[in-house]
Amino acid sequence: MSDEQPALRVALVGIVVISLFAALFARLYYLQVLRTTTVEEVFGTARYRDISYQGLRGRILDRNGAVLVDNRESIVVTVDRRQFDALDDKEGLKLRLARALNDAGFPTKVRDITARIEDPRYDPLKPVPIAEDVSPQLESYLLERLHEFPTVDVVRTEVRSYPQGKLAAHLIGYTGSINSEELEARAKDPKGYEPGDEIGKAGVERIFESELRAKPGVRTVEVDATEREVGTRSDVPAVPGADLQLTIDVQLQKAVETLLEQTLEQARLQKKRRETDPPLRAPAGAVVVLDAETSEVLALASYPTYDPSEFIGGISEYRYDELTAPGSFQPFTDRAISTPYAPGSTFKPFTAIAALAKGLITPGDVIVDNGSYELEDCTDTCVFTNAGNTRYGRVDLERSLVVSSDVYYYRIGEAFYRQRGVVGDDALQQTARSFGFGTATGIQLPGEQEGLVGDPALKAARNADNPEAYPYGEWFTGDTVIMAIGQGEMQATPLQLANAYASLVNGGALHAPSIAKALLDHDTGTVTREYGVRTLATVHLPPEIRDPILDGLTGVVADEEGTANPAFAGFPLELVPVAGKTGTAEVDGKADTALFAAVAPANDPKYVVVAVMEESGFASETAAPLVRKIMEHLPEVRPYFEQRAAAPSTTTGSTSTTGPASADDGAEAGGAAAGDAEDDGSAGSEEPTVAATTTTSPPPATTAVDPPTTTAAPDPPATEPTAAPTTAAAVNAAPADQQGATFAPALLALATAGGAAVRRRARRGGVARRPRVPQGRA
Amino acid sequence: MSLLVKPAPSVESLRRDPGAPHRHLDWSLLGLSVGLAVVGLAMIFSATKGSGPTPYTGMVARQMMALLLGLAVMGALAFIDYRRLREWAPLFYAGALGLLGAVLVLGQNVKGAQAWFAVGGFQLQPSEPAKLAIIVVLAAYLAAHRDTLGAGHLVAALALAAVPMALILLQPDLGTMLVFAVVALTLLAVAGVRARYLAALVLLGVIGTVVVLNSDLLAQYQRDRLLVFIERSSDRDSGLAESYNVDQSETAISLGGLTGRGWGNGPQTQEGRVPEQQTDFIFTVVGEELGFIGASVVLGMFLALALRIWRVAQLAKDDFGALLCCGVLAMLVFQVFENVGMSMRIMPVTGIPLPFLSYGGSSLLTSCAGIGIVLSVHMHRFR
Repeated sequence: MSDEQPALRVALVGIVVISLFAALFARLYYLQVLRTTTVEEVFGTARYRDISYQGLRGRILDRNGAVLVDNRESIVVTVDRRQFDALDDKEGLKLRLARALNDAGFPTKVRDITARIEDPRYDPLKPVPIAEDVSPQLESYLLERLHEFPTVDVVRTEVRSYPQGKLAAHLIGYTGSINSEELEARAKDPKGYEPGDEIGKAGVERIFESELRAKPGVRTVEVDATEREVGTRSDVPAVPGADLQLTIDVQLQKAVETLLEQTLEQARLQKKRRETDPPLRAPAGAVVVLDAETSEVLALASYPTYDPSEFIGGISEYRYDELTAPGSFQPFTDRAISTPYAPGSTFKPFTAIAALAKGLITPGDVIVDNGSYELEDCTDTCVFTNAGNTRYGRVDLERSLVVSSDVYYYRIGEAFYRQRGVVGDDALQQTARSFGFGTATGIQLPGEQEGLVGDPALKAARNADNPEAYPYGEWFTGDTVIMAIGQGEMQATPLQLANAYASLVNGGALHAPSIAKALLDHDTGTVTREYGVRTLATVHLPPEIRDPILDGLTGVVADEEGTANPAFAGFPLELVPVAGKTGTAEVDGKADTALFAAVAPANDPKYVVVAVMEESGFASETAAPLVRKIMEHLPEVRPYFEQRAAAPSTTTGSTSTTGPASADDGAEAGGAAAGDAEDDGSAGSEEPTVAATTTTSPPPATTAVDPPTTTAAPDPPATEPTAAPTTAAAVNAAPADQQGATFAPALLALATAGGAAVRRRARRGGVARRPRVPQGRA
Repeated sequence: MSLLVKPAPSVESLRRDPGAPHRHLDWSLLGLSVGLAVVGLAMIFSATKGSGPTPYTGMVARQMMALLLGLAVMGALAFIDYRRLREWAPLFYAGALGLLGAVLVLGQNVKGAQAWFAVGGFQLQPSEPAKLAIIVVLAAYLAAHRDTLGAGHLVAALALAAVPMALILLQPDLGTMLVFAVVALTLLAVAGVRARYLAALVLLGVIGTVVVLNSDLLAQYQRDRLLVFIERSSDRDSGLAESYNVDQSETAISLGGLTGRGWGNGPQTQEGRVPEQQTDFIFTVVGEELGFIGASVVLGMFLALALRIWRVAQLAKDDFGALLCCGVLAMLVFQVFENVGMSMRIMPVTGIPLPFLSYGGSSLLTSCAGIGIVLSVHMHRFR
């Protein structure tokens, strides 16, 4: 370079170069030495997105494996939001889509589509569902014209299906889209929830949500800055949820629900006794069938009910309002567990137990029931009467149950009050609580109520809280007196009542009723978890207390003056003796609640059945007949009626007998005395020729039976050598593969014979000439 | 010195001419160039080998061929007297314009830019050699009018630069156009254009940039890139497409730390999470796998190369030689600064390769040729 200036300028270039590099070094030093980043930080905040997808929700089965809730395919119309945002003609697309949906019969407004697309709760990476459960016709229509409907897709997903329709709706519950509170509550759930997921909302769908829910599959994709997928990093498939096996029996549940509805309908047709009586609206009711030994729920019905399939894809607001309107009588309420009723006379056995335990009475004490009872030293309400002022005369403990003498229990109630210094001021309540009254039973269903067992403390507290609504804080004699007959401060849910009876008849074991039997692996069906019996407590119930009560309860059904005796006319009590207690509870301003709590077989309790019918009048004319009809469907009884239905119509006998009636019952009953069969048949019921018809019928040709039921039949017990020769021979003579088929007529003959024996024994003794429960059975 | 003790006859005859060009080959320039290219090969291998059991070597092999070709071009240019280039300048210029025009018609569109010729399985990017052409042409023109440099010459020089810049902007390739602008500006400055003219020029440039940014001349992606750079601090995780590259790149460099993750072990690199990591973002591989120490060595090599070119410019026998060196210096340094700077988020993202390191034959050949010219200036400084 010749002159100075350019050289200077070249030198300046060097300075610029060094400055630029200094900047690079500085930045490099900052990034790599001052502000280092760990791999964990980077890969934690990486541009990966987890896209979860649903697996199959577990099915719900009955105790025998019949499917109550399954999954089925639903066709869903979706819109891909990310692509939709880039569309030019958004409104046009929405309009065309709404039109297509409407034409196909799925009423949709453009506004609805906009709302779905803009709903921020949906995963931005997933297409938004616009319409669920559309027809295959619409599916093919749209799929053929996808170019007219950009960003629209039609996919098939799994939704709940109900092969049994509305059956057991209250037990099963339903599923629905998860709401924000549920989402929050399950934020840390290992099965990860996200908006739009289905979740159990009621019934076992809700309680066993964690078990039924599938573990979602997760596809981890890498996305670029515009959230476009650029690759898949991993794909963990979904794990289906476990199948839930319930304790209920579909056949029995079906019968119970049908009969409950029918009986309520019939109850509405009753004539009022007096013009001034409240109307017999019979709007609602509940039935509980428990296993007496384990408190497993075999059937549980609440009427009115609803159809869970209406919730698939969301129920419309209009329909929901309709279902929850007052005239619909709250179909979503499971009355069996959520509605406390005054138990009325069905509570009397527990009053009696309390009195026996405290020594206030003995079984043999006799009072004279003149139809009313006046309290001693009384100023206000002092006279309590029997229903209809009926006079029952001489009444001991057993007869007090048989005829349902209120006076007998008023006296006990007053005794509790008067002796409160000795027995304590809540002795009756203590006994009630020991049988589970006043506490939720702990069944695995949502919304259970705890009922009510009032005591002086409660009444005082109520008065202190709200003196205007509860002006009396004092516990009066009358409070105990009406509690003794299951009124007043005494309320129980049908399930509580059934569970208390189960405890009473099984010897004192109080279980938490169970609705879940087991969890089964979705693929193999093997049991992965068994829900066993949950024993809560054991009530001290010695035979000297329990036996007279059971005798009384047996008399309610078997004795001619028993309150439930008419309802059981024609019922094979000889085959399956039934014990029970009617209850007709008064409700302010409404017709009486009819209740019946029953046990079968009375001599070897297996089932507890409780029926409650609101505003239905006398239990003996409503609830008791309902229970009787339900009991016709018990496995031990069903063959009898099936045979009876089949026998007159055809002599070849085509009825299959699938009831797994215990072989013991058949054998023992048969062992009693076959010779009495005809005698009893004509004496006991409107079907005098049953025994003759069936014993002379040739073995039916059909063979769909349980083989084990026949094994004991040819082998009558040694204690009863006069076993029916005819039937024994018939069974023996039958070819091996037909033995099951011969079971039904054989059982029938044996059963009717056995029943006679029970009755005859009954006639031999007892104050009120009613049968003793054949406990010892020697 | 063994040569003094036992001189070979041929060496003996050469020794007689101390000014002979071959005696003044600058080994440091050659060594730094080859060294950087070799580092580049290693980085390209790491960035493209893939995760399979058999590493992919296709790109490294092609780059190696380009390097051999580049060294041949470098050698040829070194031994040709750079003053001959002055005579060929119009030819270079015309050829460059022809190719830049042709590529707009016949070229291949790759990633949105009409910048490549496909020739028998190889791709040629004419804008790369065009950089050298503009250096030679401007150096020749400015050197010729060195003593009488006025406004008219300034306009003429700007016009010479503007034509290829316009053609490149049509591709569009904003980054390469910027290289042209920087080269032209540097040459004007060094040649002695008055400071006030330069200031006016810079002002015009700024206004022009603002106008262009607000017009439709730039493609949306280019505008986004620039805006990302401007708005980076407040918008780190906005999810903008253009910030993604820089996020990943900056993260990768940060991950390197002091000593690096090791060659072939950079998590970001091996996951392939930095787009264009073998070409425009090759420095992220250096930063992540070699760490601060390795990256400093690479930057240090670039700095040494630049200072060496700068030194050659000072030593040059004439203005033309000095201007040639400054042009090459401006080209290389701006590319390094822009490329490394964008990897570290101190410069906006533009598609400029890192000289010697980035995968791409045209770029490597151009860098080698540029060094060849500088070598020639150095070798021919005495005669």
